[in-house]
Amino acid sequence: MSRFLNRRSIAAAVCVSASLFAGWAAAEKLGLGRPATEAEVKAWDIDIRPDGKGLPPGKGSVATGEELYGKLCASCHGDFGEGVDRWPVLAGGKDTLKSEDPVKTIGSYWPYTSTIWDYVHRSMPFGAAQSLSDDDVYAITAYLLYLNDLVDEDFVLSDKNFTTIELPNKKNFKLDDRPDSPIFKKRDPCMKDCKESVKVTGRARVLDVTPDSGATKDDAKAPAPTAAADAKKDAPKADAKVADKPTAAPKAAAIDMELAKRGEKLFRQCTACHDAGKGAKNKVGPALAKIMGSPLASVPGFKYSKVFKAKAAEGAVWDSATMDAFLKKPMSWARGTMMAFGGVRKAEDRQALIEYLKLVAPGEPGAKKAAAPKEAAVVAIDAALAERGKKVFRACKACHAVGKGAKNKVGPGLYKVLGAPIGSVAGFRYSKTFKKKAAAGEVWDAASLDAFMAKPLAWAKGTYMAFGGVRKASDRKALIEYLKSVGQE
Amino acid sequence: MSEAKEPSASRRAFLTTGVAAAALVPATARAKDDPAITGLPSWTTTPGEGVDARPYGTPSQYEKHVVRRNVEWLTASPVSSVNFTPLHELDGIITPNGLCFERHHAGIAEVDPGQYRLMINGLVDSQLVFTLEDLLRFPRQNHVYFLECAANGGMEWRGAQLNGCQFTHGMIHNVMYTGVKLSLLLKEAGVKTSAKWLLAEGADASGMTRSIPMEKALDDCLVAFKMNGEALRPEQGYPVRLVVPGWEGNMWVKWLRRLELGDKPWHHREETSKYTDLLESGVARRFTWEMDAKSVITSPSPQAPIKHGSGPTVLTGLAWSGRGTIPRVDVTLDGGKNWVRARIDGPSLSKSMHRFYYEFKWNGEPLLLQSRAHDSTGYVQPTKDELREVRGKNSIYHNNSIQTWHVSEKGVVENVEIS
Ligand code: HEC
Ligand code: HEC
Repeated sequence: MSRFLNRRSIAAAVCVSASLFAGWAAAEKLGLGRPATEAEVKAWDIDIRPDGKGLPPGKGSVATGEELYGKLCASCHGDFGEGVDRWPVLAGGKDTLKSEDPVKTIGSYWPYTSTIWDYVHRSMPFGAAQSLSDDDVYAITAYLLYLNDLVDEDFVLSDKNFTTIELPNKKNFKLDDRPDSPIFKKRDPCMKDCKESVKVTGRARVLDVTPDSGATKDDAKAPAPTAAADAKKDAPKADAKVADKPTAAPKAAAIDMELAKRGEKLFRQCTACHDAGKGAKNKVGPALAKIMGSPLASVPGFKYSKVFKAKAAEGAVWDSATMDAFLKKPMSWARGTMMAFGGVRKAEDRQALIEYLKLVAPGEPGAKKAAAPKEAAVVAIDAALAERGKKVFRACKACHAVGKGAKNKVGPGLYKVLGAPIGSVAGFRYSKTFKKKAAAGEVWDAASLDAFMAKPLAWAKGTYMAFGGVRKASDRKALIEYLKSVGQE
Repeated sequence: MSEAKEPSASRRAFLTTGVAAAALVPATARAKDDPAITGLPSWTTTPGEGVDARPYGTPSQYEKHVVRRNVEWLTASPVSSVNFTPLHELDGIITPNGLCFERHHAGIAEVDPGQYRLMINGLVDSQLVFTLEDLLRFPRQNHVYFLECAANGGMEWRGAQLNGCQFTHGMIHNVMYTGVKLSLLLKEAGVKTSAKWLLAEGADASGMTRSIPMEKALDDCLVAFKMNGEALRPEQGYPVRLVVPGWEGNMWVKWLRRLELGDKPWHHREETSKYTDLLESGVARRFTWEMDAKSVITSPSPQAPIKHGSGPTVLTGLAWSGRGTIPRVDVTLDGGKNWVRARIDGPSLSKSMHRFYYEFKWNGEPLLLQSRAHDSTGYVQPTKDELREVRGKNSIYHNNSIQTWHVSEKGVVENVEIS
């Protein structure tokens, strides 16, 4: 910059050299770029302001909005804007801003109606941004206002009445006044003998929500002081036992006492909520007296969450596999479970816990696994690969639900995809290109899936699947294995 | 440090790692012959790969664990999510490009540079369109700036939660940018006097937008195309991003496609629903752009425990302020009873990270580590309690409080809070 200024002043002072520095002398403007056309500005300038500047003409009713919302938004944001899983909540939360757990929604928090219109129009539905017509956006905005009890069911929103709709929390915003706080007073902090004693008042390990891989090398993640440290010391021994006895596995009934003993120690972290063994009582969690081999949600007198009841209705049974999956990530294995516990990260710890439960809480011998006969017919699945595929599939979750009866979201629900005709999910509106493939009788196999996943938009020109593709062949292989496994459990 | 006092349990723990065991042997004792010296390793006897093997170099195979990581339960989808810079593995002040944390609202846009356009419209004399080549014909500047997400540390308001500075402080990176001053581009279009605000907009599928006041736009903002010398990484906005020095990261719009000038702010989603700081009273602050002075000890830290036992120990960390430089960092080993001044090493640049060190002899006792940054305006980093006193626990954003690490006798480190 300074060099630039120098040149300019030199150019101004020394007329002879003016031509040499012509570009710089004119530096007020370099004459770069070109004028934007009207159509270009119109195409990109889509922003809306609270005073209505930027709003296109149009209108939409709550009723139309409800229909659109149900089709395009409810799969993530919930039928009433309550938010499915961790997707954003759009309605409710009234009078919660001062509470311990504020719920910030359009109705409870947002200051301006224009923000809804602008954001939905530029960014939603997630996965298909800027696909809504102006009237659609008016209708959906009207419906979101309705969900937040701000307009009646026969309300029609338009560019004419737009600015008359004020959101209730508008007045509760102020400008940045951090510098007025006492923290900003100049201070000369104490350096010596500043306090008499120091007490630890909270620790991260209590919550245990840090991702597993955060620590890198073995002992970086050494467990919390004393008690847990002992468990760690024991660990290698116990592990060796398990590994030494591969032949012992088929004789399922035999309990590895060493392992179970380790499990008992690990179970200490569960005792706050669970009693285990004969005569155990229900506490915060159900009594674990006869859990292994029993159907889910079958402990008498315990009030289970919806998700547990649903799984029980499907005939799910506690065996080593289900227990392992549940203990690994309770909250994601059973979304909505009341077991507010982060999970047991290490596979060998879970194994030990399960061994312990087998020992102290064996189920009725008659309660055989419901799924057992089905398993025989199953195609061999590389479980590790499928597990990897499940991770890769996170990139797809925004648009696809998987499993039996999976709902259609932005993309069709995926269940038993391999071997199924292309574009055959009931109730999903496929693109023309998919319909054509369907009419031609094309079927999903590993090869077609691989090609589609590699470059969706190239493999099926005009597909609605607005997704860049999965680059690595190994990721695609894992994904396909995962999709295979989904129809088979 | 006397050998005898060393508790035997911890000795055993350290013996599990060979290197650590070697470090415990006093220098005067007769050492066993080290096979790392007496046995010729393969890299000494056999040539390695040639120059064509790694046209774009990557770190050593032994550094595979040094990666960005995410916290899965935080968000519903990795497409709208965040990952964290592994601060505990880094030194100096520059963050390598591949380790700069990412926050996307609709995934990584892969913009074709040949089709890249930047539009300036609104209250200007002439609405303009620039190609990438056009931008490269303006005079350039180079600056090192930190970019911190306003939500960095947002999970820690209610108490110590995540065990590792990667997760408590890793939504930050520090990079040398090459770019054109935003003010030059705006001058090219001719700013009307009625223009008071600028809207910056991204080309990704979230259509990210933020309102920026004109004074800042004309002050030190850059339209950048290089980071640490090479083209921006796709996840950092390739080919062009906005640089808004010292201000919250969300405003540094990636995949920058448009700059609109207006007479009022837009109050878009990222400055109403998000990036507003809810206070205990139920009132929320808006437009809290500057990042307050902050520091953290990156080692020792939960992911970087002390493995070498007692003796000479290097404590190191980072400090930064959105308002200027960091002339001073204090460090305490005893939870704030006594403080010492840390040594700042390397460049001290405005709105850039600063690297500090404190070397001491650890005697194997438990420690409570903290660092406290002072910035060039005289501002001193507050404690967690001081900050909660004025902010409550619900503001999510702008948590710049002092971090405490507990170091056990075994050198294991935990994220804690103290009285
Ligand atoms: C596939 C899931 C999905 C679908 C379908 C979807 N959204 Fe969203 N929505 C999201 C995600 C994810 C975000 C947050 C994006 C981010 O990180 O910036 C979001 C954010 C929002 C927000 C802002 C919430 C806030 O608190 O700031 C609104 C409003 C919204 N969506 C409306 C809609 C509407 C209206 C539709 C239907 C036209 C829709 N969404 C469809 C996933 C979805
Ligand atoms: C942005 C949303 C989106 C994402 C992300 C996405 N999909 Fe899709 N997917 C769709 C849509 C929409 C369709 C329907 C295609 C059509 O009609 O053209 C589809 C179709 C499919 C089909 C064909 C289903 C059938 O009934 O024929 C499969 C299989 C599939 N996707 C798998 C995946 C996988 C695996 C991923 C992740 C790697 C993924 N999708 C990511 C939206 C998405």
